[in-house]
Amino acid sequence: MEFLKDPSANPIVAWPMKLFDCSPITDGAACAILVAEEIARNFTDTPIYIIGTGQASDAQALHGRKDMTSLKAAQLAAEQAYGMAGVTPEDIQLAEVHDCFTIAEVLATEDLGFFKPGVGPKAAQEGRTARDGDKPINTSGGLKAKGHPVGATGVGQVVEIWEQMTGHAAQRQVPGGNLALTHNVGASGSTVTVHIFERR
Amino acid sequence: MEEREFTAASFYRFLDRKKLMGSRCKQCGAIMVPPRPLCGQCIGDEMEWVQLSGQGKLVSYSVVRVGTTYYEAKGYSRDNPYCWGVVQLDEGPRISALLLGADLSRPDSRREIRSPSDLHEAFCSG
Repeated sequence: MEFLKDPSANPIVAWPMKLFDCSPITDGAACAILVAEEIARNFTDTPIYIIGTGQASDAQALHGRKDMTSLKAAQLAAEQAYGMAGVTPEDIQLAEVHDCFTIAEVLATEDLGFFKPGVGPKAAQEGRTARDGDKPINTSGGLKAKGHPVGATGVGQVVEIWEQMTGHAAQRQVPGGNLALTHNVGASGSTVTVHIFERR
Repeated sequence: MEEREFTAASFYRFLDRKKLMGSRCKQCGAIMVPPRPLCGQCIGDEMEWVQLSGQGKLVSYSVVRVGTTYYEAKGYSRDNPYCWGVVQLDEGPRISALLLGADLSRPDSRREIRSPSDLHEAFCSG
């Protein structure tokens, strides 16, 4: 990872974001089959269940928001999803979050209640969000490492959660995974959706 | 104050005359910049023009080296970056603006905006 320190390999895009802080423009596709709970087992022996969903919006312009180190829409969407699922952030075992830029992942982990405000960066640095950490985040590599095909990204997050929960994640596999979450952001945070999944 | 619609077009016409204008809600006093015909806080529909001093504090900013198409066309580039910031106006609302005259060699220095001319490109581009 030494190349990250080389300005010619990792130049500034928009200070303080450097090239490898930004998700690449990507082509891609993702697919999920969404059916009623009662007939899920007609399609697979290993369904996962959506037990919570939330969506919220906020001002599009950054200057129209009260706080620039948090997405209010993410907090509200998470609150709805946790409420519907009847679970808390502590219960979630792994999550795919919308890390379109480096800062976005750490803010997401705070907005979702995994870490207190301001603690997100430290938690990431200490490896708590790594695959072998206590709160694995973006086992897929996330938008930055996996790519960000905008229209497919949200479903792609669900695919990763399904692979993790059903033991199909190969070398990315993390243990546990009965309860997981996806967090998807649109238009710089003017819309955010959060889903909570359960394996039964 | 002359009668003008509370639109972005009006905002730019005032800006051309070095006036930074917003609309103020007669019901709750909230100020919208750029102006809006409806209050974003209480949804009141009785607004009046208010001239802003153009003074405020820099809340956050970025020095952009890979810019939008609009700014690339204006000659900005990796070698000629521009500074984009969010400013908290003394009157309360926040606006985004191209910050002209900022010292880009010292990107961590916070500075107070004390000249309306610093804000004259506000909202020219998304």
